[in-house]
Amino acid sequence: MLHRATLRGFTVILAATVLLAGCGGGGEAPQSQVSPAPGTASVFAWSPPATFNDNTPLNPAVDIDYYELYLRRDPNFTDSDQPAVQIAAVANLPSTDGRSVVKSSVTEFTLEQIPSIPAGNVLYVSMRAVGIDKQKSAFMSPVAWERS
Amino acid sequence: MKKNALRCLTMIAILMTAIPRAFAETRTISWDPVTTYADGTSIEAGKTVSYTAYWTTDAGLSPASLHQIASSLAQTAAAFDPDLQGMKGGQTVYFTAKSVLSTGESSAFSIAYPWVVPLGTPSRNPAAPANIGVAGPVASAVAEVWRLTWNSVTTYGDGASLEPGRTVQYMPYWTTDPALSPASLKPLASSMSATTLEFNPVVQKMIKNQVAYLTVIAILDNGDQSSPGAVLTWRVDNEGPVAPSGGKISKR
Repeated sequence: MLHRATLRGFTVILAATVLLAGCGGGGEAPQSQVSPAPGTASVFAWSPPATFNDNTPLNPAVDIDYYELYLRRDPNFTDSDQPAVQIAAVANLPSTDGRSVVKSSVTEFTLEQIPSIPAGNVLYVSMRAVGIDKQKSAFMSPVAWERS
Repeated sequence: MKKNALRCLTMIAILMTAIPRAFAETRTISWDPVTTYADGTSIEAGKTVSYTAYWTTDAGLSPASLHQIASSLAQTAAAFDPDLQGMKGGQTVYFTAKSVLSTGESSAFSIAYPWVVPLGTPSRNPAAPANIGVAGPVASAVAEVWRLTWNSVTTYGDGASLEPGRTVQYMPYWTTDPALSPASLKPLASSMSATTLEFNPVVQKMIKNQVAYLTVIAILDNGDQSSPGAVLTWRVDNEGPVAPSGGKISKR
């Protein structure tokens, strides 16, 4: 019973970390969102930045405000692209015993949670980190998302 | 033994002082100087006394309830803005202070001094500047210069539009105090009509990678001022994070 309650709390918190943003840069009409069937969710994972551009150390749990996730039908991301979704850099997650909340860096995201996904069997995913001062990183190397 | 206790501060009094209109809501709390220990003997020459002033809504002055107005003051007065302190009109608040000798001994808190926060006139203060951002460095020929920007203020705090002809000035500040205590705010420039400011962190005595809080206050042509705009947290002089890496997609 306790285990089920913990899982439910996790789901709610994870959903709350997603801040809806504009549609992706692919320019295609979005498809309606469909909840993934069990075992078919596409989970995008990344490593948070560990330094600023001048190589001074960075603590992602403190210095990163959120991430911007981008989708395109090609890998040519540009500054004019709009993020498909914003993802909070830190989430409050239940502790292992389910009795308290711990802050944890967010390092993965289920792509099917994006509310407006461009059509296409293959999309490209990229991401930018946004600091607490709203300065943005460059785009990370695009990753192909094979949807079929 | 007795000399470990400074004489309690007495005669704290609230003064309605004439403060420039840019800080129209400012009040001043003042007190008598401490010159003796609790037993009445004089404090030795060469020792100095500093003061810390507090307010609270708890007449019992419970330590956890105390809000610091200013600390380590050499003078026997401290200015404060009831709004910025979070005091509410009509509310009774209590002031207290303590004195600290240069040798470390401190007094007990002074007796609570009650004060009813004035209701004041209906607020027609301007809205706080929004969308504060920092970018840079914008020039590196001689020194690194950063650009602070914010949206112009066109409304009062209650959302009503400013009347035609009204003008707004802005005061950009920075501080290392996340609570933005008024005493900690350091102006980045004198009041200005532009909504962009270029500044040099070195000139401002900011330390690289120090966490600084940047804010802007709007001031109407009659002196009425806004609350501080949404605070921008900035790690001084950093040029933004590097990109996330190691992206991969897995099916689950």
